[in-house]
Amino acid sequence: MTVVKSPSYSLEFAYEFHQTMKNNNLILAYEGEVTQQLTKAFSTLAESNLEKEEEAYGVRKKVFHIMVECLQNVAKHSDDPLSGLNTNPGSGIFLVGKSDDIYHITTGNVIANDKIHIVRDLIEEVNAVDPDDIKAYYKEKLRSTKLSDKSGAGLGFIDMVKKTGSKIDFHFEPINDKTSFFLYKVKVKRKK
Amino acid sequence: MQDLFIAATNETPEVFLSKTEKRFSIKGMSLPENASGFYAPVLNWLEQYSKQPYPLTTVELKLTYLNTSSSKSLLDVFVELERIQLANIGAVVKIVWCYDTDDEDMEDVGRDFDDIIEIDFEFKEEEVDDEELDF
Repeated sequence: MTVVKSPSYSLEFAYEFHQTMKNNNLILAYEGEVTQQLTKAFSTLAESNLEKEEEAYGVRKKVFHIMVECLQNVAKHSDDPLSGLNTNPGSGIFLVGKSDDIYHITTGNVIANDKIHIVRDLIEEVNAVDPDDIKAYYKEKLRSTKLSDKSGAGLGFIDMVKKTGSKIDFHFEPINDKTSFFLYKVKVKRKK
Repeated sequence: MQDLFIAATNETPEVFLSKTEKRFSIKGMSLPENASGFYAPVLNWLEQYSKQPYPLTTVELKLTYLNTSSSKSLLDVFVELERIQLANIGAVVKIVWCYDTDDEDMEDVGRDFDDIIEIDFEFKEEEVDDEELDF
């Protein structure tokens, strides 16, 4: 019988990891399955930490909101790296960073290559909207969602841009011919 | 018809729909992963109610948090409420949209709905004790 041992990490690595997190101002890093319980736990934890640090109510609420949306996106939309089929519950990576003036929330999950163009189009479209027009754009999307319930795709991304006033950074890293890793970062400004 | 009461959880709001008590309200935070399942009984209840509504139905919405999935479901609720007015000549539905004083985002959410829904909205700002903030 062959036993394939998966490599473990060294304590030196753990220390390096700690340093890396510190150097990148990361306050939360997670890799794995994202369930609704985890979403709720992370968001609530972040909320109470931000409250302790006396972050403004509006900022706390925006961070909480973006975290929930991003984690639920992973839970719902992540695909299997080999088959490209949707997995349930989904899994991925989730990072929250905090710098002097901004919270950075990064989400990553596997996406089937044939879905990339859909997601890319949604984000590029919302990123191209003039900041002054984003409210009107969201309302138009909401109106068309009201008229046909199939057209709600992308509402989450639009809502993120509307709430944060920042565009979404995104990247697709190819894994194989079926799948890629989809990463995006949303910024929440501190103290308006 | 039977009342519909759903107690609040840490991810779904309290629903109170009572024809006998003339009380119609949804209060709390709404962030389930799949909101359509949660709001299905609300839609069913309203569909039944629309067969014989009061001349004036005032629905109080006091939502402290809405995820995108819930926003979509709430749209369905509003469409059902619009239908009450459309299907019953003279019937009027009014929404009272309550939000915390400091919560511009939730006020915005209500204003957006107001603009695309054919129902009168009343906006009600409420002072919240900071200690009680719980979203």
